[in-house]
Amino acid sequence: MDIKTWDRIKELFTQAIGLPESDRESFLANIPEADIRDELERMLEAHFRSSDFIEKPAMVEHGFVESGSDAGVDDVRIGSTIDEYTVIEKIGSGGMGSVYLAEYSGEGFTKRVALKLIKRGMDTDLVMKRFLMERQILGRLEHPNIATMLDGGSTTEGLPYFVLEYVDGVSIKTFCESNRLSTRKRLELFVKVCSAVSYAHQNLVVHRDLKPSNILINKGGEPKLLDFGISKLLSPDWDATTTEATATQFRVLTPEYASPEQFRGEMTTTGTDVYSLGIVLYELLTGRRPFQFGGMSSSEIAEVLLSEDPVKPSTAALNPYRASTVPNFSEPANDVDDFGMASVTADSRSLKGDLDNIVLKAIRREPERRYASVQEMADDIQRHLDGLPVTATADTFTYRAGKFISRHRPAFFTAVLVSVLLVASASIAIWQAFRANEQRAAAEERFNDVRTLANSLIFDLHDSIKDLPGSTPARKILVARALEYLDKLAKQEANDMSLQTELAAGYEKIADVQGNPLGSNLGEIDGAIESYGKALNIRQTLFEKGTPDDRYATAMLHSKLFRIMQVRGQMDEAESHCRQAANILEKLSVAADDATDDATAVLYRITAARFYQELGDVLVTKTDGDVEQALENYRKSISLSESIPTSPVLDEIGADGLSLREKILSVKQLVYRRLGQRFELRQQNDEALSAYRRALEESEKLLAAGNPRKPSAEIVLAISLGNLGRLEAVTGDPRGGMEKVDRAIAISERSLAADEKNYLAASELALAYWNAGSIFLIQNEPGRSLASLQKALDIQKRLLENNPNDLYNLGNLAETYASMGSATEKADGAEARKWYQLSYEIWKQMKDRNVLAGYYAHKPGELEQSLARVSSR
Amino acid sequence: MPTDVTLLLDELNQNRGDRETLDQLMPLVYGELRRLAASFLRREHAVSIQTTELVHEAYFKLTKQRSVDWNNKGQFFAIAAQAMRRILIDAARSRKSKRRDGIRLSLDEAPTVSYENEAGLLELNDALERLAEFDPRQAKIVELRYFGGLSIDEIAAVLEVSPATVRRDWTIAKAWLYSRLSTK
Repeated sequence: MDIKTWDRIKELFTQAIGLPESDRESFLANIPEADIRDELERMLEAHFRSSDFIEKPAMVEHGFVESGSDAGVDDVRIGSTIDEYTVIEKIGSGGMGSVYLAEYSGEGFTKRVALKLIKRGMDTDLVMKRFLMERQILGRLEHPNIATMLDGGSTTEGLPYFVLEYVDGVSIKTFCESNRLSTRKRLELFVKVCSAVSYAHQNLVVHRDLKPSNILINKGGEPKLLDFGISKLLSPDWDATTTEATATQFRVLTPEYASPEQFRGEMTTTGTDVYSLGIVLYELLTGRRPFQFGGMSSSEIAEVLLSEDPVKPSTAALNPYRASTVPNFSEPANDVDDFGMASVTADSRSLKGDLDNIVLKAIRREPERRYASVQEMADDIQRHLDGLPVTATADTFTYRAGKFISRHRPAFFTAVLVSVLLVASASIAIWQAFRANEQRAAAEERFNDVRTLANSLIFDLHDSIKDLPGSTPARKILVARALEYLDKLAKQEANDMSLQTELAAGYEKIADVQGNPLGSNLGEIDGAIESYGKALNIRQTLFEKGTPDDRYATAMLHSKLFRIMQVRGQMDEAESHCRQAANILEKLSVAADDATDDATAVLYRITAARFYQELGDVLVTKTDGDVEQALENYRKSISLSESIPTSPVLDEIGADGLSLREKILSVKQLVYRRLGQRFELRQQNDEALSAYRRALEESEKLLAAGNPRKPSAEIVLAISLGNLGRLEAVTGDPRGGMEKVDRAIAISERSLAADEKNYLAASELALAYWNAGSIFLIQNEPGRSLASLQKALDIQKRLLENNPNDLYNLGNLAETYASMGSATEKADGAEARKWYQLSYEIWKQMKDRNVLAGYYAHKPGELEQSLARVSSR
Repeated sequence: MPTDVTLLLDELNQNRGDRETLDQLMPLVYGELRRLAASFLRREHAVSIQTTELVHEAYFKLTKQRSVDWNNKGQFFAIAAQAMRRILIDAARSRKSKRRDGIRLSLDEAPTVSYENEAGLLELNDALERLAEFDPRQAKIVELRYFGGLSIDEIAAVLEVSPATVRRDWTIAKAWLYSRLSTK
């Protein structure tokens, strides 16, 4: 550009930006030289978009990297050996030093490890001294999601190094983004990360430098946390003679993820990790971090953290990164890989409420107002995933006002308060163990006392009084006390498998007492859900390490939660638990090998089949249920049952008095009936008929397999006969159909006579009468039809009187009313309206109560049509 | 072989633009800045460093002065800005050429360091060189401010122009540079 033109452009540009926007266009239009005009337009456009551009010094934006002079030294390492490790290649470098892939050769094996070489500037002797003190704790951190510290030492030049398990993976952020994971998947992954951090905390190791680049996801999609405990070893202020509470703080920090207390130089605690995890979660959900610190000094950052509140994640998600092709000079470095990643952010609406509250609670500036532990945070996320209410709530106005006042108190006071709170909240045993080795024995003793006490409370004491009349209040107190003990124990020794298994069993036992869905209980359903949840949490944490029995126990916990949710009508949760139970069991059955005994292998398979059938049921019951998916689950169930080979173990009788063969047949007949019912509703009568026939066959086998014959198997046979009979009649064989229905009536009557309290028999007898009534109607015999229907009606009304919430019979009653309507409509029609109305009201009521199953969704409308038809006459 | 930086600066101040003196000074400043930045990173543990703070410290270290001779300091700032620019560009180039694709097991990374943005920095550097061809003062202002971390008033003092002029030039230079990058 020639200088003259440039001078003119500069002049015009300065004028133009001083003009109001409305005048700018005409100003430009009046410039005669097209090239100057074009240049100006271009610059003006840039001007208004570049407010942040290069405003922060380059060093801040681009960092100050030391790679230049150290690179030579680094490269020399490749191929060399450090102690018994052969350096293969450099896989990373940064503030602390460089990381190499290295190989360890033992006798007849080689092992790949990550060797972290600390850069010059550290006091090697000191670091090594600390390492020796901490290595036991660090080496003990064995968790599937933590990269284990394997070794440490110093090189011949005196540089400290650490050897870690090698992880081939990418950062959690990159993983989420490149796989475009859904919010749910991101949360599930994050919960796993939490469980690893929680495990470390229970082993007295705080990470203090959690950030996406320390959370890798390996090829199997599993998170692996790096660098646990290393930050502490390198801390300049670490003093072995003082406890954590008085030590000044550790200053290797990553500003974007460091907590306010780290900036303030106060002590770091598990709350520090909660904070960093909160920031990571914020970033995973919204694609950005709550604060931008580009160019600020540590005191400025501390000031921002003290005075500014983070934007809610749901709001942050509304402003995803610009998909710009221009490097964004004002964003901190790590964000650069976000360019063009439109999928980074979650739907803002899905973050509103729970997730906003969870994330904001984790990153509150006062450690004591955050989650008390990482586990609590994970629990809350899990509750959110399960559709349960979370504990985190939004900050209240009162709180904000209080906060304003407290901000002006000396920081010293806050620091003291924080440490007191934290000490108080830690259990005494662990605190003592932490302080000195001499006291460890005492701590352990106390710990074992608590353990014994909890177990005896739950298992011995409770069981011995549970059958005493009037023991309910005592049982309630026992439950409360036992829960207290368990909660205390749960905070400790997370790596003690046997204790953890014991804890899970304890929680489950308590939950059973509180609200076992399949037995008598105290009716404390909310408490039961919580206790089952705690048991489940422990089971899930141990899942990978657990034996097949442990996994089976996990599936059973899911199954109990599934029942509770199903009864409560929380179908989404029910579905989730049912699916998990089914998946675990199926995997168990697939993994069952020669070492697994035959009966157990069969049990896995049949239970898996059972839960796939249940899953199908849940899916069609949901108002928005997917019938195709349900059918798929039914087919899966069938193929699992069919794949069980015959063997003598099938006739072994289990604790519940049923043989495995009976269990298989019971599931098979049920799933075939379900298939028949779905096809019938879709008016695929041929498919429905053949499914009902299979159900009948299996029911007959089931009855025959019982030795002696089981009353329940007789009812099952009656149901199968009734279903098939009615459909045969509808599809053109009224005679054959009626024969089967008559048999169904006879069987049910006989069962009921044997045990007049047999609820199931009564329900099925009513259903059989209804089937008969329906067939008479087809045969144009409204009188006989009405007589049968009346019998059904009487039984159903009586049953509902005692159990008004029995939705099964309520639906059947509505069907009976509707058939009464049809029958009277054929006879004289006068009363039809009344019956249709009664039927309609039940359906309507069920719909309003939101308990109308998906496959009945059409019923209110159908009855409305019937009503309209009889009214128009 | 200690070099008296104060003397060199004095010389440079009296004989502005003296190539030889500048060539003697530059590696000293460059090295000192790098060294200081590294120790800052260790001490402050990568909480971002204020550029001016760093340059000041380098100045005091190199000149071993306790008080500031403003003429010298101005000169020094200008050299420091240039040194910073070289350091950053060199680092970006070397990273760019060395970068390898694939998995990075990054146990840690100097937190304020950008690994991905060199392209932007190098592109900006090219644009700045083009700007220097027809408006050296504007290019100098950008160098002092963006690479040297100087304030408008400090730049005005170094270049001996009014702060208003610096501000005006800065605005224009920014718009021009940004317009060159945006068309990419």
